[in-house]
Amino acid sequence: MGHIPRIFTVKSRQESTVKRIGSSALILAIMLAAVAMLAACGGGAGPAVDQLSSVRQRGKMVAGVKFDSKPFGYLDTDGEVKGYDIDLIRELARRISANPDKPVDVEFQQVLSSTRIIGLNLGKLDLVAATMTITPEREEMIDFTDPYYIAHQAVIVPEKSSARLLDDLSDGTILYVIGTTSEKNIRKRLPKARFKGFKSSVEAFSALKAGRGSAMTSDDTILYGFIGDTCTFRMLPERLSDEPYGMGIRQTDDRSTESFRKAINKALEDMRGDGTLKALEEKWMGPYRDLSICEEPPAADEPGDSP
Amino acid sequence: MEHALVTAADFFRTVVREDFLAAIGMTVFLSLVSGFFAILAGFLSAFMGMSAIRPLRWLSSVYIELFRNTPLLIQLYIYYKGLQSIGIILDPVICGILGLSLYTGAYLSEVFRSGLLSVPANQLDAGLAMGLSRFEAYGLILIPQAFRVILPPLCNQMINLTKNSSLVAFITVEDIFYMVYKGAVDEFQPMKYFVIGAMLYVTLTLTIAAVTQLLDWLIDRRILRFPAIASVQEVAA
Amino acid sequence: MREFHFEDILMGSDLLLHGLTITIGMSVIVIVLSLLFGTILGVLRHEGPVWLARIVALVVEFVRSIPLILFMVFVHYGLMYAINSMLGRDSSFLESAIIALTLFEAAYIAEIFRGGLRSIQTTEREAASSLGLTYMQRLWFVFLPLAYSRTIPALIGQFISLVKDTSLASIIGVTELTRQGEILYQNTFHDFEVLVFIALVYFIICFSLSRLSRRFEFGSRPEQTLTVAAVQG
Repeated sequence: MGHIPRIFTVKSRQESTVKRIGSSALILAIMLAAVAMLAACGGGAGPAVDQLSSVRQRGKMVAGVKFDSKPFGYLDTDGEVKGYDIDLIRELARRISANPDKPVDVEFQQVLSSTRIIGLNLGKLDLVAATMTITPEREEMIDFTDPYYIAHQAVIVPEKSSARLLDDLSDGTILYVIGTTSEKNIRKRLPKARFKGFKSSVEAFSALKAGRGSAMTSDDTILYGFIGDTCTFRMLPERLSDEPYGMGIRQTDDRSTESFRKAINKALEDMRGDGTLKALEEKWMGPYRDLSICEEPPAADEPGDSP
Repeated sequence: MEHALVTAADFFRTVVREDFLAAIGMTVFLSLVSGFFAILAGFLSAFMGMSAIRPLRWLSSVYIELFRNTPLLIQLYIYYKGLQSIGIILDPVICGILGLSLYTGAYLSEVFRSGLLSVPANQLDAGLAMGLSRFEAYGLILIPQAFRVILPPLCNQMINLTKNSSLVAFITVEDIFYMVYKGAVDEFQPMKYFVIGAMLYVTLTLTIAAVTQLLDWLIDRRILRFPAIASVQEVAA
Repeated sequence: MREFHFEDILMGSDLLLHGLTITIGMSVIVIVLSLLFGTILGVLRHEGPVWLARIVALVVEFVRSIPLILFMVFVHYGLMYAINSMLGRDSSFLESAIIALTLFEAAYIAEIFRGGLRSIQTTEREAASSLGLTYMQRLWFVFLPLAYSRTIPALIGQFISLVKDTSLASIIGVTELTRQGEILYQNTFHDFEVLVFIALVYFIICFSLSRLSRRFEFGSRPEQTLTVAAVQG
């Protein structure tokens, strides 16, 4: 390096730090490209064993459910996980079992909106029933069963809020949950509003209770649960979208999960036919939807003006 | 899973998106403001730790131990969710600044203390003997000499601060990491957003290291001089 | 302001205890693994052939200049999925957290360890060579013990960071202490009390470690001379 002017020669230790980090940024790009390529190539392989027979053989399946979404999946005060999704999975486990007298055991694991898809893909979960809407983007990542419940995206505000319609919130602060379909719809509907994203719906609702925002958006199912808990919030009449809930199943190239999906779809169809689904809905959503849980006059329940 | 590599154009398109630029601005803002307050807290605690008054020393070490030995994430949660649950609502950005400053300040306190102690005691005595007040002696003699010793670990802590600022995403502050997290969770493009996030954080880290080195070089060449040093030298002359 | 309700903690003690077990278990596993990887990386960077040392340096510097949570999200949402689908295997959230933490902390430990290796003086190296030890023997019996004993305080400092860092695993859904606390206060709505209690638990672990480190700080010097003396003797 003799011909380099003296001013450029390394004198302090720190200059070499700068150089090191600088060149590492370059190498990093190459390394990451390699990893990204690896990821792109690798996607889709999966367990070679047929999932349905594996579940039947184990006599057990692992289901990812919400612990924070009353009345679909929540921890009760006695520490038990309960809700619509939980009852549904238990019933499914009975119906897909090879021996109807001996239902498949179910182990419930908590998932968040942000971890339900990766949880399924990492492979420890057999299925996820976690208030998850079927969307085309998600269908590229995982497989869905047929829809078992149609929820709608809604918005709640504190009882004393002056907002009567969604448009009253056009410059408000709306709270949402990261990893849900809600964000896109509400941003489109209220382009001027401010938004705050949370890790879970309970966190978002705590923030709303504390006055950190003017409204919260999520599926009406979850919002009904929060209203029922406190009875000091109300739902605005407009529904932003239909949210058909499906159960998530791992996507594989070798179609080893296909028979499992078919078995669940078959069971769902039977349950729709014999009224089990209806009964479940009545059991869990009934007290919330008519707000009998609050013993207050029911909120206006007009059909939404958007599909 | 994404089936495309992150091309330079893709990288650029994402980074110049309005919300992404705002997120970069937020990380830079948080680092600068929290950096300032962290240095303040660090100096205060360092001086308290070296003071002759016992309760002050005690207070300083309680501060250092308490804030260094608990996770930053929990500290941020306490300011944001904890206080919220007892009815004290702080703005998330304020919570972030508070958390980052106090956490980094506890580390800087040690850095400053050892830096100041690295200056031989007779330097201070000499200054006092020349008729400087204790305050002047610290400002004119001790701190300028300690600065060279302090600079490298200070740089390290500032880099840590910038990296740690990523945790404010979980108290709803929309910084660089918040965008990465949403990209991984919402758009199912973890690789793309990781590369972008890593590039940005490496750039920020690199900038801090470069600024530190520039300062060091400027002082070395006597281009940047503490007015303090100059005046002491004049007094000495 | 409302009244404080610390009785929640008693009520949720099962939940928190389970979380604490995972936090401690995870910390111990990561300490052992990252010490192992960190040592290997540190030795490669300091003693290895130039090209290898450079690659190690690049990786280490890169990991050290990004936030842990970014790295963890990358490992969890990207890397683990890719690895799993290539090898056709399953993995849990805990595995993602352990792998991310291990690789991340190893980069820091490698750097600390390299400092330890650098502190070994030429005379000490010569002394070891003059005993006729092979390179591996010198590394195993002289350099590594010397480097370890000189870096114990720094290593323990890193372990303290590591214990604190395990709290980030809550973000990717591992039910460790922080996450269990979250579940507890989401049901009782007494966030403040639960969070302060959790902070206290982390404090007790980390503070004890820092006391331990202080003991080594004063005790390490004579030990060093002893090792060298033993080898030379």
